[in-house]
Amino acid sequence: MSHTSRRRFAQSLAAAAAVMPLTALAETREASPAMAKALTELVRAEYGKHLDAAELARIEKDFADAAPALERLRAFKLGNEDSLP
Amino acid sequence: MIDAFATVAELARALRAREVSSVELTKFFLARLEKHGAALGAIVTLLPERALREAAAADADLASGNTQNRPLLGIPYGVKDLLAATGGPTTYGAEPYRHQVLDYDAAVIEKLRDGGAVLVAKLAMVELAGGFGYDNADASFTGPGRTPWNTKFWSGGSSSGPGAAVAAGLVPFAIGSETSGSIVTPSAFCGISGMRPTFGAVSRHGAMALSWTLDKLGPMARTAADCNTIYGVIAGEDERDAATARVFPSGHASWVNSDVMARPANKRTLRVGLPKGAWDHVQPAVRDNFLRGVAVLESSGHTIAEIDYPDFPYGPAISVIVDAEGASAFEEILRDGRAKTLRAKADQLGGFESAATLAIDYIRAQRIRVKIRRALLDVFANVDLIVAPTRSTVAYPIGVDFSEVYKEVKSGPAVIPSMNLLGAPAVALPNGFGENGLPTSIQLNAAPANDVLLMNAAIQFQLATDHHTKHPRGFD
Repeated sequence: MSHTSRRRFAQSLAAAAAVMPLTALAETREASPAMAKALTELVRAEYGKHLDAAELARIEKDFADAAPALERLRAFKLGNEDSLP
Repeated sequence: MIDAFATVAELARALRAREVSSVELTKFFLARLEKHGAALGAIVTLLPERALREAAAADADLASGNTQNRPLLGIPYGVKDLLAATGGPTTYGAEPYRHQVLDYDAAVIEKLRDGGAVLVAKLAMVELAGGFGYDNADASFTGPGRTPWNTKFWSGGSSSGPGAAVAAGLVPFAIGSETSGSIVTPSAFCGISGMRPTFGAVSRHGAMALSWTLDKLGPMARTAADCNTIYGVIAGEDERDAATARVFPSGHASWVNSDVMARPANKRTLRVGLPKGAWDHVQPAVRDNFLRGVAVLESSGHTIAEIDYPDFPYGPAISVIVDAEGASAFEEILRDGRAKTLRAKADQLGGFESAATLAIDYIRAQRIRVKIRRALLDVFANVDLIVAPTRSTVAYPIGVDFSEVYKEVKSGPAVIPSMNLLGAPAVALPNGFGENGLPTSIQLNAAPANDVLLMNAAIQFQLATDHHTKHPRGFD
């Protein structure tokens, strides 16, 4: 994969979130910290023995930073007729 | 006297004319790898015993006339160290796999071996092909790859060793891999020609998996003509990689039925589409060189038109796919904690983050991918090639996080991730120089299964330009 990694994707696409409807953006901002915390708990439950507190904090920040890009993915409309490849 | 920067075609002619032997060529390139490889962060393992054995066999075939349909007979080459090969470890550029020995040859190496090519080295790469989200050039146990044009700058990733080794004349060609940009980026940063074949055109049996639905293998060389020759040797159906059955033997990419695929490869006048915005905010030299390259295409008789690029969440989609598939591919080193021994801090943690990708997000990304494919094939209904700057900047400096440099530059439409989601072939070609004496590059993309049409256009471009004949100083 190129150096334009997922975290850089997240940064570059943060701007794209600005064109989302304001209500959706507001929901994202409220949801992101909670989701980041929940995902970090998932990581802790599965792999916590390999990670210290500082690393878990970094992981939580990464999840929060990536949230706008993920929200852009989730905002894309799909119907039941839209199948897998 | 051997020219370190001779093309594959030139070396093949010299071998057949008995002006040089394969053993002599092999010793010559092994010595160059030994001399320059480590300083460029380009090599993992030299394979002198295997190489000299293969070279002797090639010389015997050359002497006996067993040369038909073997354009690479006797030519030395290197592979990104994610391909299994006998004679040395297969490290994936990553500490957890540093001592891994896979005692067989990957399908690509089998084909090259049967064609008489001589494997001289396993070349450096970004650890795990960048799958865990590295954020600076120092992301391999061999250290950062350095472009021979200016060794303070990165050779690109994740096929960093193939890029630097070809550019410095340490091997005539190499095999790289691309999940999203890993052939075209180092080709651009090192000023060489690199081809990403259609998804499924080249067997990945024996190659490290990062993303089963995105990974491709392809050639990196001095010229598009060399890439085309190598592609002809390594492409083909292989029952050990189901993806190849989508492309062969019908010659059509059956996974998307469309009449834009497999156009006549000898089509001379092509319709070239330039995505609007692709050069508006790139570095000035990147823009100027790109526009000069477009003028070359136009003067070759092709028609040029700006096109609206479909708006999709390309970046998030490919990111989620690589995260989910990559976390699965490397689950063993997450479970046992060896991921913490990776070089880059971002990689040490990135895999754990990837492992938390929600299934519904992964499936959503794959469903969006279907729509992306349809939209991009609609674009290809009106153009034969999509052409853009390969990268919006020259190579990144070593020792600085990617996010901290070139902040004034904005990328245009996400051509690299979108074309990888489509499974489309591409070629990156040098087109001049920019800041700090570093090369710039132009990328040509075609609809899936139009690899030969694409490469014909690339060869035509290089017949009209001489950027591919330039070589870095200090490596003569």
